[in-house]
Amino acid sequence: MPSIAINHVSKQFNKVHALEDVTLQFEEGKIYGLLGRNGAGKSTLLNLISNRLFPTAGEITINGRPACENDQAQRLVYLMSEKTFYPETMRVKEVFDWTGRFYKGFDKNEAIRLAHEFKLDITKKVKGLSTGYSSIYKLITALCVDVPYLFLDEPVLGLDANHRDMFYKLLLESYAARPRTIVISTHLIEEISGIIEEIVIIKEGRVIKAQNCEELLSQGYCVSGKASDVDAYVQGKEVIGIDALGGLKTAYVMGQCDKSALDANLEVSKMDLQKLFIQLTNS
Amino acid sequence: MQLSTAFHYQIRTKLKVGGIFYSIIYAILLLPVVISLLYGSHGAAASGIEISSVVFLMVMSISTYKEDMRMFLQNATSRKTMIASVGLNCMAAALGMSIIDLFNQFLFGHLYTYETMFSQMYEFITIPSNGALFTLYSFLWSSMACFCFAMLGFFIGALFNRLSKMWRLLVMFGVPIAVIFLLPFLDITLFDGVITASIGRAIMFMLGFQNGVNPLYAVVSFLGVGLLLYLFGALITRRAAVSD
Amino acid sequence: MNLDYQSEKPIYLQIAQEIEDAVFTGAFLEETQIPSTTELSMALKINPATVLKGMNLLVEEGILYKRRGLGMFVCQGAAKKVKQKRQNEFYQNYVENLLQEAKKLHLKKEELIALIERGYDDAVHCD
Repeated sequence: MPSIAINHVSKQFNKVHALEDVTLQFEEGKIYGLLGRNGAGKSTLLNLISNRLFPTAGEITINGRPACENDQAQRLVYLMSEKTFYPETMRVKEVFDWTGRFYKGFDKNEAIRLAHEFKLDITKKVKGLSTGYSSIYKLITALCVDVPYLFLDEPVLGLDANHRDMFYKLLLESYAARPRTIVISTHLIEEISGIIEEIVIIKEGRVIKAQNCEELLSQGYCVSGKASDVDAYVQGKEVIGIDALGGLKTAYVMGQCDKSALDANLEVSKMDLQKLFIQLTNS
Repeated sequence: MQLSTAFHYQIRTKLKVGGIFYSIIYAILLLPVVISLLYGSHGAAASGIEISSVVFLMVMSISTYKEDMRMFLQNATSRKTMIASVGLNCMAAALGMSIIDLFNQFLFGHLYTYETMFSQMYEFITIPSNGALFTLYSFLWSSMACFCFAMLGFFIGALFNRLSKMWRLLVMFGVPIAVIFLLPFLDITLFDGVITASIGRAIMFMLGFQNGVNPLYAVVSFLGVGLLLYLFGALITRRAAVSD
Repeated sequence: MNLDYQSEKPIYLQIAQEIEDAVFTGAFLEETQIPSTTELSMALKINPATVLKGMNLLVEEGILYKRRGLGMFVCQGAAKKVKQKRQNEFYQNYVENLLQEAKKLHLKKEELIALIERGYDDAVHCD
């Protein structure tokens, strides 16, 4: 199956180990969430895939071709990142033009239509855009590029709630029309938890989880109630985190919930992605 | 093909800035004409203005390096392709600008005294100075000079991209000071000026003044040094990370 | 359509439930087309694969059927099917929870029955 294969990749910056022995696969046609705390190594990974950085060890292949310094392979990938790599004095219209020349199959008409929807003035220069609109022209470009692997690094940075809502809808619409691999790296976990199919969690340069999102969430649950009742219940179980407030406690437990052993006074709920993430990545 | 798009992209930038550049150049070149129309002939002369083409290409190469690399990496274009594009671009631009300079020489040479750096340097050449061969030498000389300095710009751009701010300042001031003041000083004090003398001789040889006057030496030297600088620039670029 | 992210129930099941509700109440009429996976996915901000999973569940149960190139349609007799299913599941879905809550509140069986009877009486008076 065509995919991006990351094989035992490490990246070191002087003394800093940004990524350590990462082995991962991004399969075609699925929406991935790439989660990690600030400095965990998400952006480094995306930069390695898109040939902006070189790995210290390991190899990355895109549909079997090496990713490094390879135009053919890189044409299958597009990275939208927080850093602007377009010249400051370029106008949005020109960004669309040039993207169309470098990436054949770029839908320029669609890009102009989306710019209109977001009320983006495409005659404006890149440097003259606000934080929000800086993200907007980039994500419009990203959505209109015709590549099998799309990477979005913090796509909604600076976007107001209305624009974020628009973006998610457009993303899903675009995905439905042209199924492809879309990897979203973001801190807004709650907002994307429904959209993503697969999840990758990076902690301190290592991948700690890489699986189907629904599967991961069904592997655990929350049990809450009176502190003593909760403590009694979780004896011998794998607890990955605790929230305590006065006499109330919530425990985050991995495994399947044994309903019969449950006290009537305890409440069981599903672990949501953000809670699970926080518990897994708190040091 | 990525290379073709990359090439077009870089040429576009040069054309845009070139437009401004040439409007200034032509303003300067037309000035004597305007003055003589208004105030009568004043014995106007232009001298060595084509050096500005050399400077233009060098500055363009330095200033567009970082921006172009980022644009290319954003658009699935490898550093390898960028290196190829830069080489082709600078050669094309060098040739193009030299042709324009040749044209200017011809046009303005009829209106007033128009001296080129080449004709001034190779004053004592033994071939007729208004012949086709001379024009050919002149063209080759200026285009290879342009190419050489464009490559110098590429090398400097690549080097500066790699260095931190502190090192950049150090190099920017340190290298000229070392070459212009430190080296001669040490040379005269310790080596009786031997090094400076041999460097001087080497330069004279490379420019074609060693055995008679032969600009072809210069053409080959410029091309050779240019290619060497291109190689060094390419080596630095191959593993370049995008700095902030 | 509302989804409860906190609920233990997987999203695709909730989606299946919501569509089922709409069929039951007649919001989606028999032999008519329901919103596409794309439309639902955009409206709920859910991955289309998840939406499809929910819909396919209903196809298996004979509530929806697929028309190639057009989309998902409500089966004939689907409303009745849903009613039957719900009646069968009434005990699990409502009665069990009712009993559990009653137990928490230490209500006796007689008290519970009295409450239910009161409910019927109130309903009669309101009609």
